[in-house]
Amino acid sequence: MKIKEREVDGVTILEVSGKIMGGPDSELFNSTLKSLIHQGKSRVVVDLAKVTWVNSTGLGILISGYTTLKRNEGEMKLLNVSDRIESIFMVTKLHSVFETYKSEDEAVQSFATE
Amino acid sequence: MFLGVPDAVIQEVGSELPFSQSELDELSTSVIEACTNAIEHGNELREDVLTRVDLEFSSERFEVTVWDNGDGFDFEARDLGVMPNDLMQERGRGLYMMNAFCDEIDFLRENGNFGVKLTKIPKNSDDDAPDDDDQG
Repeated sequence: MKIKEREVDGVTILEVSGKIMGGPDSELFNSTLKSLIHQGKSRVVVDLAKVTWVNSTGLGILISGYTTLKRNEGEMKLLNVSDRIESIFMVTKLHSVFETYKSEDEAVQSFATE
Repeated sequence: MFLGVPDAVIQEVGSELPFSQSELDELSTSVIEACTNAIEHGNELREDVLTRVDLEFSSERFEVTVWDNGDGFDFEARDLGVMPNDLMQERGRGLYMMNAFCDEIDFLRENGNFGVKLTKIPKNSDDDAPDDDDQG
């Protein structure tokens, strides 16, 4: 897994690529979020457009990130969820937890309306 | 962990069989879960122990068996259709996902090895096939 970071209107976009499957991925994702929280950037959109697949351990990484940001008065939303990942969210009922968007503009603007 | 390998093989083989893309993704996701369990729990992350993946396929079914060197678990005591109580629990969804995504799931013990056999049967749906009317 790789992560590219950029900022749009005060919202951090994390462009994740590759596979989200645990081990070093967990450390990378957690340390990225902790660094953002430390900088006071707790409004995060995770762009999954370039993610090939997620396994159940990878789901745990996303859940952990979501919870970490919530605990720090922030929020994590998801962008460009593929059909393959969406079906995993549906079967595990996590679609009721994660807010997902198909356009970056909509995802960023959703923070402004809160 | 080379979990991308079974995924790539299933996608390639499956592209020659009458499965929809979503059916292949479901089987592949399940096999990745089985491999993760085999490597982490069955073989306890030991690099000197083999995790074996067997594929058997026809136009009627796609069977993948993942073997490890461990003792397995008491599968008769587990209700595979039950999700973790806590939706925000970070682990413990693997078997549930395999059971939900596959048509059949069987557990095997053979020559001191433990195997999980995952079977997908095509629904012969044309949902993912391109529609002739949409091809301009």
